[in-house]
Amino acid sequence: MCGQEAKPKRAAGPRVSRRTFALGAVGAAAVVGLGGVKYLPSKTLLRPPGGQDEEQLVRGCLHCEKCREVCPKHAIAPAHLEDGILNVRTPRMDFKSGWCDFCEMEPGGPKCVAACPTHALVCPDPASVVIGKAALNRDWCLAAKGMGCHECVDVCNYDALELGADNVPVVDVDACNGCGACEWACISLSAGSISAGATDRAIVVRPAEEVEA
Amino acid sequence: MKKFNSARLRFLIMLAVLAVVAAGYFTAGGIGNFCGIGFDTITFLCPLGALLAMIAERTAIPMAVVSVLAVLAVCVVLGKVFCAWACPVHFMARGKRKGKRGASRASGSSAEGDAGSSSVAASSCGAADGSAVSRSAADDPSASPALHAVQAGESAAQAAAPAPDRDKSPGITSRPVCSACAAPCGKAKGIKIDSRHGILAAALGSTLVFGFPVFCLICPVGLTFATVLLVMRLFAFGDTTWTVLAFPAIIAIEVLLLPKWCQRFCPLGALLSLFSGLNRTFRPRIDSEKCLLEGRGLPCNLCERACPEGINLHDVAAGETTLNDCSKCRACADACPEHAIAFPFLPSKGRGASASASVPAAAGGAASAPASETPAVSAEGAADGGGTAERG
Repeated sequence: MCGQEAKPKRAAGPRVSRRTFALGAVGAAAVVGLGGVKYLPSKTLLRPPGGQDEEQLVRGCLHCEKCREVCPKHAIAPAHLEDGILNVRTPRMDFKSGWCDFCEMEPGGPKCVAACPTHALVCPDPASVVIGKAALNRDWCLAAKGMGCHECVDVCNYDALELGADNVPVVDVDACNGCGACEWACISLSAGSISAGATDRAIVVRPAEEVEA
Repeated sequence: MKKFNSARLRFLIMLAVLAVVAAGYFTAGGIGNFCGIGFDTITFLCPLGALLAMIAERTAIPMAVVSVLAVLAVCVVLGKVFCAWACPVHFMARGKRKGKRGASRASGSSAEGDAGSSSVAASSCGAADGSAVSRSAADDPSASPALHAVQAGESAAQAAAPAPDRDKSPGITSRPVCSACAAPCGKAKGIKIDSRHGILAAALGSTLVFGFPVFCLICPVGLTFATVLLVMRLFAFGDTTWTVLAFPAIIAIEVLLLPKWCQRFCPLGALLSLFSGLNRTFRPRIDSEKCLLEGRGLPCNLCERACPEGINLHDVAAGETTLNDCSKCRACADACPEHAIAFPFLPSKGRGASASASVPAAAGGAASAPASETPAVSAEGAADGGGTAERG
């Protein structure tokens, strides 16, 4: 079409298109390769009610943060890189700052589930949700040091905690649904000088598989 | 023409959006961020995220379908306005192009703003100070109209020099023109497939294969909001994590190290430009009587250089992108020394195609002496467009 000028044009033309093509190909390969992070090891996290199907959560979560914002107890926090690349920015339960009451007073069920626009959180029956299981560390527990503490027993709404023979709380693993009230109420870490060397609260909720194993 | 600097207005609007999201974070108002924004159960999702989530879940999610259609409607009515008027990444990329002046101004002004956004701007601009500024000083004499005279002189010298010399001289992009061409070499209308569309396809395909929204992990828009949140949590709750450093680093790599993220890489921009194919409003139009190049034949390409989307208004077919990619940022109108560029609400009848096909019109018409010089001046673009046309 361009007659004798065609040669220089061809020399100039593919240079540009090759660059565009290369950028597109490299970028596309990078994005496809990024999908491989799915197979990197990642921590099992405590999820908000309705997020127990990990596959479903990872499929749908767009990290819009709405579940975290609407939680009336401020019990949801964003996951970090330390929790695994695939989990970054997904919601996890943070029982240091709140606990989950499954929004019992809300007509529409848990607010986080209602707020989730992509159905990453789906919760047909809040009563059957098990977020995790509470686990007591006797080394850090104030009651085990004869302090007579029973904060966690008092706050448990599910009769999953009772004082044992030596006045140390005992977790009924079958009754516990991991609401986190006990962890939230535990004062062992704030009484740091008593439970020396403690890095976490004496009673913490862990993923159900870890506790049962 | 209005006197205000639209870049400043856009920057303020973007800061306001960031502040609203940050306030939502702070008050736990349930607003969300750009990944999904709205109140209560009404949430408008990022269209790319909505598509990815639907592909990953392999079901149609009502809110996602509504969001995609809503964004499509906005794009048809207003065009790709999100990029220039709301997207925070656009400004980081511009900060790089503008170099030191833009970076220092950005960090200075945002320091007065809320803690979250200022830290983002500061971190990204801090990186800009280190890496990009020295480079941009060399490769980009900026869009400042003050440089117009100097630059025009340079271009004139280039145009006067014989073609082989121009090819050899480093840093000058003009190439010999195909003056025999009556028709434009590239596409002036429709969609030019480029690297962004490849990345968009890869993002969709990768999600289909791996079953989770892959691109969301590295989306700089989402990561910007995540950084805002993490910085707020760092100070509010002492929530320390490496993530608060990793996210700005990822953003910096994408926006500062990669050449022209918005124009060449962003799959969200690619999706929006596809959506904007039907848009006809607020398309930039050159008043060819006022235009230095079209009206007087002076070698001016300030509008092309100012365009963050890589549109060549003088010869759209020759540019890397078409008017589908116009984000209505008005940078070209601000850069034009003659104020020859307008953004009419609707294209005027008969003149509608003039902006997109100026060169063939000028060459074919040959009504005036300057017009015949036009093809030689816009040589660089024509050759670029030729490559695209050959490939496509």
